[in-house]
Amino acid sequence: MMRPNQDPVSDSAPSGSIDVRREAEERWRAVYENSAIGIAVTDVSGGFLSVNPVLQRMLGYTEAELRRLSLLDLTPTEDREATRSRTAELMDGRRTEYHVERRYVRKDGAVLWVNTSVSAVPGSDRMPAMLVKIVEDITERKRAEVELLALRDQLATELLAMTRLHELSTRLLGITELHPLLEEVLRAIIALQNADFGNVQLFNAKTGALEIVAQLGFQREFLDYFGTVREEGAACGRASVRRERIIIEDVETDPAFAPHRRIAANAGFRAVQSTPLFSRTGEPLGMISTHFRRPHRPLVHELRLTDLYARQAAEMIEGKANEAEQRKLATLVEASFDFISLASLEGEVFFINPAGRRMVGFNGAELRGTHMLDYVAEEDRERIERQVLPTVLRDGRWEGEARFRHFATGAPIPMLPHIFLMREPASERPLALATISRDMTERKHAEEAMRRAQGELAHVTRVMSMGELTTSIAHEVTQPLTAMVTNGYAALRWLDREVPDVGEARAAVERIIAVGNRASDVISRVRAFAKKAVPNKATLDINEVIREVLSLAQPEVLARRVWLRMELSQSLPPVTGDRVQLQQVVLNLMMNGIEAMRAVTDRPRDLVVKSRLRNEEILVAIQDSGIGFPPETGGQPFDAFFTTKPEGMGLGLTISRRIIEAHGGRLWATPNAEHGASVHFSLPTEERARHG
Amino acid sequence: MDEPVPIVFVVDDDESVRVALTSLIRSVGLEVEAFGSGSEFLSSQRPDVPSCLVLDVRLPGVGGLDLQRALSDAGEAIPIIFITGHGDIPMSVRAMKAGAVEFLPKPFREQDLLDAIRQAIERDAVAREQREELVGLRGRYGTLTSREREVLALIAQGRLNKQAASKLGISEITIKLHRRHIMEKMKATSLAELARMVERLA
Repeated sequence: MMRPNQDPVSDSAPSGSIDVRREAEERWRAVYENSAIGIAVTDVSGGFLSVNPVLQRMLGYTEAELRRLSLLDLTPTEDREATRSRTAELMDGRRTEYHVERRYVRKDGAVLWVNTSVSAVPGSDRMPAMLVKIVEDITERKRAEVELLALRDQLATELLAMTRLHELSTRLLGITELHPLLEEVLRAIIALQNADFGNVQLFNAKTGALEIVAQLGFQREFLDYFGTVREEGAACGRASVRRERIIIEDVETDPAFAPHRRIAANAGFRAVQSTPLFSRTGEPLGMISTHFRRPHRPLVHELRLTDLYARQAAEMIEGKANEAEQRKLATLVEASFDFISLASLEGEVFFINPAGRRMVGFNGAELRGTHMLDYVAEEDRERIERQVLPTVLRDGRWEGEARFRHFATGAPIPMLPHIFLMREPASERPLALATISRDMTERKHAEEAMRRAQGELAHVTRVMSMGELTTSIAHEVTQPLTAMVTNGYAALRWLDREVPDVGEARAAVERIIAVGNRASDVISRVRAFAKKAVPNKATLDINEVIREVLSLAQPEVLARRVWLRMELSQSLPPVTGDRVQLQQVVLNLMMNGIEAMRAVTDRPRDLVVKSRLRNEEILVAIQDSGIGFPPETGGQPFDAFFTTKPEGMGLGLTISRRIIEAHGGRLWATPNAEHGASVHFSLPTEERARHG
Repeated sequence: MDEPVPIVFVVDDDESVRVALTSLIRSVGLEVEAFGSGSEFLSSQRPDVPSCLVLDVRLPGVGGLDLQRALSDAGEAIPIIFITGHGDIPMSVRAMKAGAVEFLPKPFREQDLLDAIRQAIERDAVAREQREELVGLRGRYGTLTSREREVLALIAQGRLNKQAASKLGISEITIKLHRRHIMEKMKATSLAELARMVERLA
């Protein structure tokens, strides 16, 4: 029995009511029409029977057009075999369905990647009657996949390049000369870019020009022409001026390159790139250029890698320059005559320069295990350890005198070390303790020599004032001589009288002897004065010196019935001086004071010795209550001609003044308010003498 | 009759020299007085006998030359012998010009000193005499009346009695009378002597 509108598809469907079937059909149609995926039904040979709108859009064909086509028409040629075999598998029942990613060729020729699920629809004879294809557009996904792969390859390439760069660096470490280094880098870059030739130029700061130092592949003509470049037209010149990479893809078309076209043509390149090299601080160092036979533009990632290599080259150039500097500095240290040493922050010594080793007599090969203090004389070690090193660590430096130790003889070596903290340049982190020291022995010798020279000078000056002195001596000596001779004459006259007066004669002769003795004292004093006495400098307590003199003066004090008083300040700071000479001065002044009071009978004979400190000077005064100096004389007491003392001790004051002046002090006299005079002298304290 | 013993003053600040000089000078029979400074000497009372001064040039306070000048300013004409430990030529010239008898460097030969002393004493004695004379002269002149002095002035010039008389407007006789008085008062023995006296007085 025939039913109307019987759909062959639904022929074998054991359906119930027609409505149910219609519903099913409509549902099916809804899916078919509105699905987001493509659906197609083909016959067993692949001819399209129906294609849903989505698939039509995917493929770019209308359904009507598709009906005239088969699957294979839409399959790219190279994929057809695979398609046929898949279909065959379906047909002969080996499979009931398959899922596959495949390509379709759209109407516009574009390739479409799809994911299809194909299943056979059996007919009444249970043999496949139709094929249903579900098609999903995976073009985007595929593109992403391809890109990912490309990226992965790229990364692989880059990784390879980095590895090569690292190997290159390692290899370059073994090369010490700059030019082979640069050549290696150039070679690497040429390989990286697949360039045909290239060169490296260095920037000559003096001339401001680029000079080729390494090249691969160029002929003489090019090298002569571009050997030194200063100008704009060439790629390197341009790059140098603009301080950035320049790429000339085609020299024939680049207008600025025009002047150089012939050379380029002769050299055989059509494209060039120049990458400038800069130091860390931005100073131009040079240029790396690569050249191509054909018009070319290097790829971005190639350029990126080129930059890495260029950085390497720049570092090498900078490094070589620094090395040269360092070598110069190292030579300085090695050749210096000063003691130069380096130690850790804890003071462990790890370097001493040759001069330093010589100075301290260190011929041990092994510095390790020695400490800075080992080089210092024992007496200074504590000061260095407790005061100096902490100062260096805290303030960064210290300079002063210290005695080093001679390893062989143990003798102390006076040095003037300058110890400072060496810091890391960037971070200022303390790295080591550096010591630079000058041998003071020379200086001490020089000081000694100078002191001797000064002594000589003082001597000569003294001798030069012989003019003064001679007159003074003449006077000092003629007085006793006159007295002696006159006494002699007198003696004779007394004896020649009719009645010789032996008593008078004898008295005269005795006077001769007495005066003669005093005169020889004067002579020996003068001799002592003229002698080259280099003062023996010692640390003295002036009060002690004064007290020592007192014991010498005691007999005279008693004999002359002098009241001696002392007003000495307690705990005076020490002075530096010659004990004997200063004793001479004090004794002389005291004797003068006593002498000045010889004629005093109406009042006590007071002799007061005072000492005190004023402004870093020790002041000593010897005060008498004698006849004093007549007001008119003023400064005359020290006039060598001038003798107020009966015994002719004027010379003593001059000598005393010279001694005091040689000690850096002054000597002067003042009248007292009541009676007599005071003679004062000042001496600088040891402290003041050292720093003053 | 005893001649007054001349005295030598010694001024030197060096005691040994003072003592030696004192001994020497006494040994030739002269008196000595020694001083240690010029001011001591100036403030001392000096006896009125012929004397001289042995003086060191360099002295404390009043120096030798200053003393010389001080004495001459005071009108004292005591002769000075300089002794000095310094052979200072300009100084010696100055001293001599100022009237010193001698300038001897130390040490001196005793003969030189003693000769100088003798010379100085001589000079002083002579000077004393002359001073005395002058004093006497002045005294005598003081006794002249004013008219007598006028007459004296004229006749000392060599004017004749007649001229003098006419000059003064008095008679020759009166002139002669004055003349006799003058000669008596002045104790002159001749006109020449009178003339000399007048010169001295001038």
